[in-house]
Amino acid sequence: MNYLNRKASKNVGAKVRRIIFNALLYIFLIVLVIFWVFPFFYLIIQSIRGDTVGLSTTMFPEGFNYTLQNYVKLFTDSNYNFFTWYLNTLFISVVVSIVQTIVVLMTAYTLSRLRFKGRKGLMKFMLIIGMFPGFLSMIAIYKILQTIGLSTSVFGLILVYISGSMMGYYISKGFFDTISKSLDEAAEIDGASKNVIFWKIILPLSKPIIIYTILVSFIGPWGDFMMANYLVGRAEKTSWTVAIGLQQWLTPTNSGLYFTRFCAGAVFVSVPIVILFFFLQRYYVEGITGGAVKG
Amino acid sequence: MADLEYLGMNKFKKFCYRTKNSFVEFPYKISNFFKTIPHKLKNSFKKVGSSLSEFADALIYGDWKTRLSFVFFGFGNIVHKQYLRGFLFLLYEIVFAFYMIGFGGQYISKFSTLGTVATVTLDNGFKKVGDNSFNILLYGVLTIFIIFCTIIVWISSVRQAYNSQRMTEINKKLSYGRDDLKNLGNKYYHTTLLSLPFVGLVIFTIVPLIFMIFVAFTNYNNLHLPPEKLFTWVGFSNFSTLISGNGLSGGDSEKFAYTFRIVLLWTIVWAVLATFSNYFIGMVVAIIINKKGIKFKKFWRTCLVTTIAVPQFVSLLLMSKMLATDGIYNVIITKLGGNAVRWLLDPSIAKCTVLLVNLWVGVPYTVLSCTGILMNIPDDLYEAARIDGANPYKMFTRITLPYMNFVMGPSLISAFVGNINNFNIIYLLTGGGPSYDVNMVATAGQTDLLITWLYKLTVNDQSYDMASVIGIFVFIIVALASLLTYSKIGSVKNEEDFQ
Amino acid sequence: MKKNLKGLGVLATSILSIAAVVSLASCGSGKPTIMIWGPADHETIYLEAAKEYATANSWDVDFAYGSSGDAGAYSAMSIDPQAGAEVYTFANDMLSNLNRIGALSKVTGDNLSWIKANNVEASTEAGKIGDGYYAYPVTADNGYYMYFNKSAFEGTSIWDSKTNSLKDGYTLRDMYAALDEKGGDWANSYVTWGIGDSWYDSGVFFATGGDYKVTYDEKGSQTDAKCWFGYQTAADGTQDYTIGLEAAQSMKNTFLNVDGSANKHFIYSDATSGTHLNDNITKYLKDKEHPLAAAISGTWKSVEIKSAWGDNASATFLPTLEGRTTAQGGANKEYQMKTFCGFKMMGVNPYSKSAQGDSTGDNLTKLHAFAKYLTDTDFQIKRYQSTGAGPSNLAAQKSDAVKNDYALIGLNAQYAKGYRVQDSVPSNYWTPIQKFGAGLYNDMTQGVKGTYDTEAALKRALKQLQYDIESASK
Repeated sequence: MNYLNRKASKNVGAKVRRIIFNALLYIFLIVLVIFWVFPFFYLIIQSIRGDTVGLSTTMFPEGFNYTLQNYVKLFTDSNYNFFTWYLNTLFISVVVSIVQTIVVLMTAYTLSRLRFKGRKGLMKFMLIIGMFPGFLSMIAIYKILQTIGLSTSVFGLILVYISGSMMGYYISKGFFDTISKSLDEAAEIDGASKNVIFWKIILPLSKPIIIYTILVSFIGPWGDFMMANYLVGRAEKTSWTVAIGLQQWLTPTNSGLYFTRFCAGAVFVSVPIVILFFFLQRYYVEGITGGAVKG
Repeated sequence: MADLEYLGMNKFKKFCYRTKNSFVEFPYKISNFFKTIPHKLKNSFKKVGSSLSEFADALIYGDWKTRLSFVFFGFGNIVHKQYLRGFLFLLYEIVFAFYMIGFGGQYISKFSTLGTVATVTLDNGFKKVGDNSFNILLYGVLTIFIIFCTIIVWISSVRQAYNSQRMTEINKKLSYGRDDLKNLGNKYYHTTLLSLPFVGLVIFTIVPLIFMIFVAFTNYNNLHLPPEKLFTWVGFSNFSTLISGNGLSGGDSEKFAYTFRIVLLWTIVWAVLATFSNYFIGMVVAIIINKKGIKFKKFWRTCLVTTIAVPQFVSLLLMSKMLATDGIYNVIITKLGGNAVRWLLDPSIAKCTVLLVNLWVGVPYTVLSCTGILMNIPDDLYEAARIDGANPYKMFTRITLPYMNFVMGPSLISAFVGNINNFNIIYLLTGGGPSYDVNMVATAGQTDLLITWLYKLTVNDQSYDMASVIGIFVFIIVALASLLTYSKIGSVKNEEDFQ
Repeated sequence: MKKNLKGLGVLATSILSIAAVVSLASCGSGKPTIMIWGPADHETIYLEAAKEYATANSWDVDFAYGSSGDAGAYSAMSIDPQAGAEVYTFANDMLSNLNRIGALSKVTGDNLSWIKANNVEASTEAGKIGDGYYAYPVTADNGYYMYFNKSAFEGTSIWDSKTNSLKDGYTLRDMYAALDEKGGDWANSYVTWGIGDSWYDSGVFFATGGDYKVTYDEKGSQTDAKCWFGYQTAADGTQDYTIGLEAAQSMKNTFLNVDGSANKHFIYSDATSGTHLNDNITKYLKDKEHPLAAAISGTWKSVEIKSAWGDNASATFLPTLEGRTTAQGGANKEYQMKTFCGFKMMGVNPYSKSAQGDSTGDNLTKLHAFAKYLTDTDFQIKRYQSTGAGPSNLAAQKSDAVKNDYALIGLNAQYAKGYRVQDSVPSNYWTPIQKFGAGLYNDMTQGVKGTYDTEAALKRALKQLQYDIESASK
């Protein structure tokens, strides 16, 4: 009897401790999430406020003055034609994601499956090249583009983005390495060339990594400011990308007049990407855990 | 130390032992690395030597067809009926000749001086442009590259001619155009897939990179900006400016050296702190979310993942405005009665701020990866431990942590290397940070990383020469860091055996 | 085999199509394009005016507009002058930098006499290097002066009812006393000026007699920088710290009470990211607890301040500064704070495509004529009406459209009291001054000893300041 009581009370004690512990964890998580999401909440509120157009000291607009004017101005202001920038960036992203995915997959397949002289050397070479900072050669790239005649055009920017695609093979290669080689061998016995194996066997099995690569290459150009500004920033405003334009609105001369519009633009740019990301989150996670961690 | 003795120590002592070992082995590792370099050099020279010796053989033992292909690329191929290859070789030679005469030759000839004819302003205001040092250097590098490729093509053409000659002597079959095209899909598939991307890589990454490495040995800066001015070679002077403060710029050199030391130190400190804070906090959060008693797991994770989904550019710019001294965070703090914190303007606070914001942006990645791994740890390990009477802390340190370390090790290294070059966070938040240190160069601030300083030197100051030197140093640091940590993985792998 | 050929065919056509698209993209219309760089929101008026000019003068060209004018002019031009704009606006402190990279074509002959005769003298001088002039003046509204809310000072001891403005010779301490006098809503009001911003700090140093001088060689490179913000060296080698000590004390007296405590009416403004436009004005214009009563700022704030204060918005000359008392080692002297002023100029780029296209210099002459047109009276008035940019052109200033602008009235009042054209400053000018001003405020309000409090400490700081400014002569 005594023994049972003691065990019961010990269990109750443990249970209470566990509930308190869990409650603390919940509180911790809630606080964490608030800190995480607060800036975006702020962003959205700022984008729909009507009482000021600049950076303000209050969080909520006075007198409940909410408006969608900022979003409207994004499309109607001829001085800063946000919509043109959006289309530019969309065009760049689509082209870049298609080309980059193809190149990355081709490179990853080659390095994973094909054995040729200089394979290891090539991988080491690309590893070393990747250790140099990218900004270093901006002016040389600009000059090379100028020789071709594309130095201040959107096409030049696209060319620069896709030129280095080859070096992003790492994660895809990790994925391909996990596909069993016996599939290849069976196909070869049946007389298929490496070309056929690539298109007909390997790729259909790689849906997660394809989607991951497309997603990552698509999101890239939206956030690239440095290279875009360097190449296209000095051209007419109609060739700008969204990143350049948004940044223009935050310069000290402009932030008094355009901050809320920046918020509207930022929300407008982020929402599709966030939605895209959530739909494809599964593939993204598979990508970074599967390909990267295997090392 | 005997294995049994090692196993018998508690966790802390083991950690001390391993750390001591890494430090002790460190010099050995470096010396081993340097010892292998001559070995590797010897190997590569041997390879070069073997192809050269083949080349010499072709010269000595070749018949007239082979000898003629020294002058006319592809001659040997054509004569042996390999029309496709021969034609391609010949085409290459003609294009190369046109290129050198029409374009490349003039730049190579001026390469050693980088131009001597300065730009003259005529009386009517017109500027008669003379030599352009930038063009000379850039196109010179390009031409050197092309000459290099041509030499390879030349050797290849001669060797093929020689091979064909020998193979016909023993009556072996050669591969013709048709076979070559067929092999493009199979034996030479790697060529098909890689050639175009590789060309893109060469033009837009490799040639510019080599160009910038050369720039580090010139004085291409805002006092020598073409087309108005010429720049020229200055040897290692920029390096000595940066390291010892003895370069050409007089008093400025000391500032550069001082600034370099400070920025370098902060870069390394930052990389270490940023990587490990992300890792630990991410792991803790992942474990908490993954814990059995917690509900709405997907919700917590989704909220955290917002910072990955929103483009970093947007979220960081936004944060920089919110953390301004009159930004919303300070408004809230003052409303609650506190003092406004100079998040981005005080040197030490700014350093903490960037670390915190880095957590905001980086922890979700870690949480995602850790969650994946956590879900893979077999539950029976925990069961067994609980039966053995282990408390949660022991389970964490003995099962979870080593497992995580092992799997996440490689990505920790790439995160470390990535943080050394983590441009966005620093530049978009503080722009390099407050610069109250009088001894630093004007272009650098106190939260600057080497990479952000490099960017500012390039874009704001046009000091391309110093930027290139710093870029080279960044490369050296990253290469060293990668080498060291990759070798450490080996020792981590051994740990698994002990489990 | 067939598949491989097909694959090759696909590859070949895609390469060719990319090449076709690329060559199409780089094809133009055949007419030369004149590129204008100016601020982003001036695009429409510039292009309109340009087209009018082209038709009126039978100039067969196209026009394009890029937003790399003004603040971004030097960094954009330095990337590649040969791809730079034909005409572009820039801030006058970039003058020597732009000249060094050769992006400015000298203004000579008739054009030169024209700019001298038609613009505010300071604005023309802002384009001078050595003996030559290299730019056409565009605006003369980049200086600072005192904004104040009439209702905060009306009827107080510093109010001058004749001019309906502040009394001549008022100091900041007088302002604080007046605000205390006024009480009510203004009892806790704020006054601010950018003591942590080197641009404003310079006005204090100029007031007490300091200045700087930069010498250049004939190519336009800085050979020497001399500065006497801290001390002056007499012929016998002794160092006289009057200028610096007076300046430091003047600064202290703008935010400290006589007993050394911080005055409750002063709020600190500084520079963040190297600009002088992030001040506390926006924040406190709307603050109910600490409303803004006065601020030192420039024309870029005029619209915002007018919309907050309405008819009470007013602007006048800068305050008088108080030097050291006899007890502190001075002579009870007072100084008029000066404004550091900048001008927007327009330059002609001799490396641009159009200029380089004609070795007789004919195109260059046409570009100069175009620049002259863009800086002439009519367009300056148009520019003011469209964007509020204060003209440098004398006739435009007198025009009906411009002469009633309250902010420009304030600026002109200050020009009459004292100014220093912000020409090319020494290459290491801004940072040391900013550190001095911000450090002084920081340390004095936090009671830090040994940096800016005693005369010895100040002398050290001033010596370091002057050394830093002079040090970076390349």
